[in-house]
Amino acid sequence: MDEVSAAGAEAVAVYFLQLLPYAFATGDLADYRELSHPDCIFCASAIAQVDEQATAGNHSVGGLIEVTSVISAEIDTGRWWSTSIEIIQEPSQTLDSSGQLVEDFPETIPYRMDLAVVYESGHWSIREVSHERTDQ
Amino acid sequence: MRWGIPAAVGLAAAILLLLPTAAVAWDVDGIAEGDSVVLNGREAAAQEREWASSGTDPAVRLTEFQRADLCGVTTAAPTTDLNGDCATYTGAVQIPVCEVGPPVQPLWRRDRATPSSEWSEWRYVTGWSCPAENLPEFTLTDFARLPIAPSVLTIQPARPEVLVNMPAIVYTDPVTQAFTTDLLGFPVEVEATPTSFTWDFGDGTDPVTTTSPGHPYPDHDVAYPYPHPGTYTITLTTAFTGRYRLAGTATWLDVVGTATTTTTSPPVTAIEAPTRLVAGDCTTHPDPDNC
Repeated sequence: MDEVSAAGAEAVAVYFLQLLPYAFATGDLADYRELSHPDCIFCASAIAQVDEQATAGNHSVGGLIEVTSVISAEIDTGRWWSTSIEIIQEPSQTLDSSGQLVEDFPETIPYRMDLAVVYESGHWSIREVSHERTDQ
Repeated sequence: MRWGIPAAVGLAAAILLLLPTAAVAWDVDGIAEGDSVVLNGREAAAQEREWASSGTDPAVRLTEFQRADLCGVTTAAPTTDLNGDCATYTGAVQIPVCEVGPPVQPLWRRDRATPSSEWSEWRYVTGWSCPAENLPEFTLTDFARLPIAPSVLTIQPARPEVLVNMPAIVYTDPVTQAFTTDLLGFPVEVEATPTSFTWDFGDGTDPVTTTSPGHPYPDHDVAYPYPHPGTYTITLTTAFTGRYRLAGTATWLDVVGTATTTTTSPPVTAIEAPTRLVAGDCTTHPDPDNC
């Protein structure tokens, strides 16, 4: 991730996606916020959901993201990359503070995640994320 | 017990209320999304335009862009016939059907370290897209260049004199103005909507900014009672927000920032109306002259 290159952009994008299950499990959004571009709609939505869940005293388990392929293209040299990442999301459950099941997502779902990754002012951020189920 | 059933229902409702309400097990589909594919495509088109307009000598340039078909999609990185034979790739390529105009070919790029180095292979930048996704940004400079008509400023009472300490009412009609123009070869529709109004009553007091355009009497919500006699001009500065789209398409894009227009009123004279005792009323005894 320290490298300003396609490989660096791919690493940032993958790390960003893998932070999601961590944030939903712990409520810790520090790294996630750090990588979220202020105009990123997906990022803001995820942050709001994590905050809402934490406020309700709940947390999630599971929902881990397995990356199956990563393709990237450099759009503006050293500044802007597109990455297309195939992932599989494992089942997740939401539990309340006593460990009781609140909601269950038993499915394993494959998605294609398209990201716009930017490196500006010495700082990586995710400009936007789109997602599409690839099993439908 | 006649009250037993309602009480049980009430108890059940109370228990339900105690359960956690934010039941949000998360999945990717449940998270809102922006359109990163369009953002990437527009950024790429901007880079291509910048490259094309830079006019660097082909003999010495280190980057080239080109539009060309995408070979059949396989699990391999996307490639093009520019790199050789597409025949070895068999997957289907999805080409979009666009609201307006034919689809735009994928964009490819190659680089070399120095003018004497070998070119790299053509590398994928973006896939098939629609003209709307390649629309350049309509900048604030473009927006401010439009002939946006200044707001029409109306003052009540509708005469050049107002009374000191009586409200001078001001308002304008907040009409949205529509334009069609050309943006680097793309026909675009632009709308300018007044969203903020700054009223300077011209007597040295601080201007007042409102989101209301003001309204005529008796629904007026922007008015100023001049505290001192004098002749003043009222200046209305209107801030317009803008949005634009490729002509014929449905999706609007916002212009970043606002453009302003300025309207200046004819002189307004605030006069005092001193009270005096007269015999009878002015209708029947129009005396003295200023009765």
